[in-house]
Amino acid sequence: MKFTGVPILVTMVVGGVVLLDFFVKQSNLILLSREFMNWGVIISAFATGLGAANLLRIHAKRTQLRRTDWWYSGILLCVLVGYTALGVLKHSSSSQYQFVFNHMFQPLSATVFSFNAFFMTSAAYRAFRVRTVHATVLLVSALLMMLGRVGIGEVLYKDMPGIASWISRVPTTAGFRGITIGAALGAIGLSLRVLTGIERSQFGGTGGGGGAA
Amino acid sequence: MSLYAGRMTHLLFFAAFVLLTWAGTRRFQRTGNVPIRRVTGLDAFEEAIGRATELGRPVHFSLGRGLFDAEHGAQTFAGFSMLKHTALMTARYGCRLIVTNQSPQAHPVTEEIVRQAYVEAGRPDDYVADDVRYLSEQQTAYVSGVIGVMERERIAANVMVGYFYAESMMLAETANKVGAIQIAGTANTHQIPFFVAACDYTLIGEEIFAASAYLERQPVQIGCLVAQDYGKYVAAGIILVGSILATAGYPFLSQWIKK
Repeated sequence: MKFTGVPILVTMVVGGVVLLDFFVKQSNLILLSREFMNWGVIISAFATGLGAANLLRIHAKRTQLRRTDWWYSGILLCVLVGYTALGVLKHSSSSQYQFVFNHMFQPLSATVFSFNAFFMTSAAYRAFRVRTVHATVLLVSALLMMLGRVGIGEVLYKDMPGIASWISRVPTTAGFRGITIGAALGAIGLSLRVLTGIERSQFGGTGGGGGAA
Repeated sequence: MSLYAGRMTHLLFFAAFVLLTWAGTRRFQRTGNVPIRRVTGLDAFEEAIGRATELGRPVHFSLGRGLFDAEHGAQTFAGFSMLKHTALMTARYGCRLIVTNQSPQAHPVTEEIVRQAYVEAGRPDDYVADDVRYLSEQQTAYVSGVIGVMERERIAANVMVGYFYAESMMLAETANKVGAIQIAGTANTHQIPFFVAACDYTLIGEEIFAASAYLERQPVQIGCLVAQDYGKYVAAGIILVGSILATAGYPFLSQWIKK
């Protein structure tokens, strides 16, 4: 077991100050709270460096040991180092830097994002197979929603867009709000446990989520 | 020193939640038994990791965005809790665990959680540092990386708990394609339908926050669960009474809540 006393104490003090600042209007408290939040931003910036270091370490090792598909790791290393060097030498607002981003990264990104359409279709096909009452309700709601959002729905039945709109506004919103209220209460409970040091899984130490048999 | 306008009710609710937690804790300590609703998604970990162990294939874990800010932070912490549980199980079963990170902030934390879980399980030598990977902060780059990991490593189980955006569907469908059993949870209402459609077990909203309490059953954690349940009854009551009063032309409850 490792010593987690100091991180817990830091969590309690920082979290307590920020929480108090949410409720109480006091100039020193505001200053202290903002200072803590600025520290958070600085620590986050360091974490980005750690992430890049992890990428370099893993892919350099893969390339060095010639593991399966090692050339992908090699390409990643070349791009990572080359693009960082370009940003440092030419600045991130330079035309060369922007060219790589706009003409290589953006189209690739859009391509990957467009997979979503196919993934949604295959997931919907599985989910809508009428095997249970829940799946039937899902199928009927989805059919009404889809028909209400396309022109043919209105041609078939003039109130179809209204039905789709009602499903979206009333039962869906009611369900979403119920989930949101429950999640908010859950988040308060978890935050309370983190602030009081009862939940410690984030330190990798004892407590929290350690119920594996 | 004064309270900010509009936060009096927040403070009262928070104080009530703390009191309910204390009362729930005391009740559990006194009686030793507080009924807790079964959460199928949490019970399924045994099945998912057991199956991966039998097949000799790895388990994949993702925290989603892994952000620490106000809206997402609590879900990321819930993900940490689930990661610890998953890592302890994989360490004890001798199953390989691959963790992919989208957030550089969450990455060192996940490394420490997994490493410590292997130490706690008495198998520190089984911990493989290269299996906790930071991929990219860019959503589509991260998704491409994870799809590659899932396809190459032929994962047998996929656990996703945290705050997810559009990556939820892409990851869940790829894991389904490689035949992985899936447990997913988020409180992002826009992504829950995707998880419900694509995954075998879904932890909906509050269930991800209740995980550690459900699994550990420590008094204060149980107290928090009791407070959550009573909090829901109170919220439902306020909504019901407030709606009736507002419809009848007496909106004082909704006005009081805004104080």
